Amino acid sequence: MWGLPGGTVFMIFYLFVFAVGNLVVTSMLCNRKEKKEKGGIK
Amino acid sequence: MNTTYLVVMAVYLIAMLAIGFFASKRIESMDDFFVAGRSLGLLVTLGTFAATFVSSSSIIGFVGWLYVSGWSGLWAIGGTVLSIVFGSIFLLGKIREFGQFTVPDLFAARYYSEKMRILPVIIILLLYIVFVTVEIMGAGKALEVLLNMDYTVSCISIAIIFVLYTMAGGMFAVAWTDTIQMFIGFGAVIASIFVALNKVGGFTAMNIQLAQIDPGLVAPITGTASTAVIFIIWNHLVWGVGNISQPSNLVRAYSAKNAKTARLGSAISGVIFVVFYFASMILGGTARILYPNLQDIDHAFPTLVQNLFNPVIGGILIAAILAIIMSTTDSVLLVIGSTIGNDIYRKYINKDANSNQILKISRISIVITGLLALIFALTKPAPVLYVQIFNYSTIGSAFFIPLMVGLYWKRANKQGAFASMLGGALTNIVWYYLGQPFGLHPVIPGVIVALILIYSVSLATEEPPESAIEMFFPTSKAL
Repeated sequence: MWGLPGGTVFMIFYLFVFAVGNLVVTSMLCNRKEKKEKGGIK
Repeated sequence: MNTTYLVVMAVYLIAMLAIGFFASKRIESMDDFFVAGRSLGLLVTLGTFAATFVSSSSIIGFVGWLYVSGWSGLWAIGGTVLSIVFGSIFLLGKIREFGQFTVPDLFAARYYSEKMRILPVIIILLLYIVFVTVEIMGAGKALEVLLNMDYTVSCISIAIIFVLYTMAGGMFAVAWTDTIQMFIGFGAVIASIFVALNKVGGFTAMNIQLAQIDPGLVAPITGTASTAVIFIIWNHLVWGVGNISQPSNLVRAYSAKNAKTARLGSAISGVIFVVFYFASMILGGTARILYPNLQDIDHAFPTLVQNLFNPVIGGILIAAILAIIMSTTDSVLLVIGSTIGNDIYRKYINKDANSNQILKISRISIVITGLLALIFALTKPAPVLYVQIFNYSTIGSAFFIPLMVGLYWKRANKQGAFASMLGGALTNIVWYYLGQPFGLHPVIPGVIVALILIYSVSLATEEPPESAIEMFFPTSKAL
């Protein structure tokens, strides 16, 4: 893909997924905490 | 010297100073100066995190390194992404909820001991003055290469700008200039890749040409698979631990308007960070194809700028390089100012000091530190560059475990934390001077020793008083 070996493509995806995944998880944790504080989650 | 470059640079520097003086009008208290009134919204929070994570070496150094190493060099950023994960998921929210001014404030409160303020203060002051020196040297050398300016003149000009706007506007100035600088730097790099890729025929064509020069340039790893895997794991540990433990990163959480903003700001900055370095790889790759015989790899990005862009755009790109250097240094200067003003003057010299007296001391500290660092930088102390790498690992070894364990393990006490911080830092220093036995980076034995000490010493001594840890574990009933 893109003239790159599979391992290099994996590395690029790994770095992007790591960063974007962190954003998604952090966002979920923040929302969960907010709901918990408002009494939405017991 | 290109006049257009100089004019663009001068306009840019004046704009940064103007922000500093505009921000100074908003400074009425310690909260305003040290932590921007704890009012920063998501945009400025993510801007200031991103600008601080992308350090002075990012454009010139990293593009040059990728020019030589190719794609495998990109693994180096995995550790910083891991540090952003540590920050946004585990640390920054709790630090914001604690809501003081400095990292020593946090240690002193969590470990109910003034000794746990003094030890980090000593570590920060010793290492951060060197940090500022290195950044002034980096900026001086960048201007020397890019504008053909005299090194001494470059360093003096840069030091004056750094000190003036940090001193005047505190965290407001730092955060706003960081955000503007991040957008200029980021925009400049993204714009550059389109021009550079167009020149070599596109992304796939770039990779094919790189493989023709040397197949290793497009390979995911260098050396054998086992050495590469070890390199990747160590790299994640070293930068993962070292970056997030930096007080200049952690204090940003105090400035955010709430814990959610601090955490999301950091997490979004992680995505920007990866995009930025991916773009840097493209610049390194295209420079390798277009200018394969550069004598100095640090000239890769400046050469692209000088050859691919008209002088006005080129001037903006050079300003972007300076922007990235400035955004790291101002943060470090502010940490030094707040450490001296808040952790030394307010706590030990004048306990009845009012806000104005503390601000005055902090501002004087910033000027003196800038002056000292400038004097060191003018002597061009080569070993200082090595000390910069050592700085990160020492702070990581000293702070990471007492910070992380302290926020998640109620049983951690002041004796354990003190032993851990001191033991981690000393192990790192000794390991470094022993020449890194077994090829292990000093931060790895440093963190292992720190972990063993905090666990064993805490369990061997008395439990922390409930009243001391209540603010960090609000639902705590009994240990």
